Amino acid sequence: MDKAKQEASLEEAFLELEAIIDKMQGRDVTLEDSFSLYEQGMQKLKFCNQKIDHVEKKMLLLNEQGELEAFDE
Amino acid sequence: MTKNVYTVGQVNAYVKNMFTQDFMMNRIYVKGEVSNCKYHTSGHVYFTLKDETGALSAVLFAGHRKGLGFSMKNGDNVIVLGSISVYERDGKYQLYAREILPDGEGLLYQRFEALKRELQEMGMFAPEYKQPVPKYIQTLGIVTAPTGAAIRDIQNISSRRNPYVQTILYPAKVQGEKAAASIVNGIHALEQLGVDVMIVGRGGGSIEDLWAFNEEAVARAIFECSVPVISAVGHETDVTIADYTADLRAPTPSAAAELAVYDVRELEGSLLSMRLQLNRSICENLQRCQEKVRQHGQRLKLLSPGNKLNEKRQVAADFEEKLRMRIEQKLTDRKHEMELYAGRLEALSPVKKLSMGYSFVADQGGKSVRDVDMLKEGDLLHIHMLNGKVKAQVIDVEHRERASALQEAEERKSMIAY
Repeated sequence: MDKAKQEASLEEAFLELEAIIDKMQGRDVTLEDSFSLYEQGMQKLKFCNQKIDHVEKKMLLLNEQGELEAFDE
Repeated sequence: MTKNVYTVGQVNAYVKNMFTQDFMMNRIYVKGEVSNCKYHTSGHVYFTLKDETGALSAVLFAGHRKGLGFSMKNGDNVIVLGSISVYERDGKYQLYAREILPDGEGLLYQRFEALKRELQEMGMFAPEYKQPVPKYIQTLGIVTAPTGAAIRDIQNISSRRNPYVQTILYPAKVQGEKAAASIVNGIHALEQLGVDVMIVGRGGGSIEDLWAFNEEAVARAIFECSVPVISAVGHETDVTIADYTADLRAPTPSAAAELAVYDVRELEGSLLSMRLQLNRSICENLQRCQEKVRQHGQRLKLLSPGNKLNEKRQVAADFEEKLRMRIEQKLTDRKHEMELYAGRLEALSPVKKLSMGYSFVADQGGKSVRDVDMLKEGDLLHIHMLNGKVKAQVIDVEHRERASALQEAEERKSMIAY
């Protein structure tokens, strides 16, 4: 499923971010690597932020006909 | 009389065989009121089941005593699981009990246990079939009643944790006759719609109220659903078959919402903290490099040719100083030595001796005269004194004893040395 793939990639991005931060905190990382890791990290962060859809949603109701309608309690 | 005559045994055996071959007679639940209940010393329990219409003899053999979990007595309403067969000796049929349960909840419990066992044997509870519930979802499907505490709780918690998740409710009947079918339809409809995760459940109630979630159809629909399902039936203590086949069991609908919907603030918080960590790391790495550059610069300066030269100059200057000190020491030593010699020399100086009243006697050739035997009367002598010289003539020569002369000379010598 397309959506499932997207979710997985958000979790993956998190794991990658952790790995990047770990690498950057290593003692023997060169300044050059450090810059490229930083850039990668920032790109991942941007990606994660884009993945969060900042639109509030109202609950929907799926009726017997398989149609979606607004749900008012 | 007639041609077909059978023995009692044949008839009884025939009837018994009919019972044995009957599928239903071999596994049957019978309910009724207990009477004539007798606990035999052998461990067998004999009793009669009766209702308004009639009676049925029953026996629970000692080997099945673990099927009786309470102390059964006359007047109890019970459900007996067993088989019906013929006791040939008496020509009577009776119920051979395997399990006896109190009626009421007992039946439902019995059905619950039977279905649970069956599905478990089919592997439908096996952990390897559990799908992981994704953490970051965008759509959440809910199969529950459109009214009641369950949907309210889920909605509240979901919108509190993350208002950006789209929740879609399938309004299902969750109790009563058509509940199971309604729940199954809901699961299928939401699966088809393609939600990320599904919550299937309802709020608390009696075991009868929750019964739909113990139906095989519901358990199967949950098991077969391609979307991960979180079950949320009743309270913490209510466990249904649906809970066993779900990918994740939540103790309550509220808990299900907590499990299904990630907290968006938490996510934003960790994104922020990662950003800060990245920034801090890059700053630290920069500073570390700057510090390295500074240190290397300092070392380079120390190792520069100018610095080396200065160092050598210093070494040279040190040597010069040492050399100078050595030479001065030597000079001083020599000076002292010289002074010592000068002192000794002065002590030996003829001038000094002359000043002390001694005179230097020489012959006419200027040679020192030290032996009286070298002289005779009339010889001319030159006598040198401190302030001049005298020419003199020997008048007499007197030879002194050799020993005393030597002694005198020794004394003189030591005096001079001193």
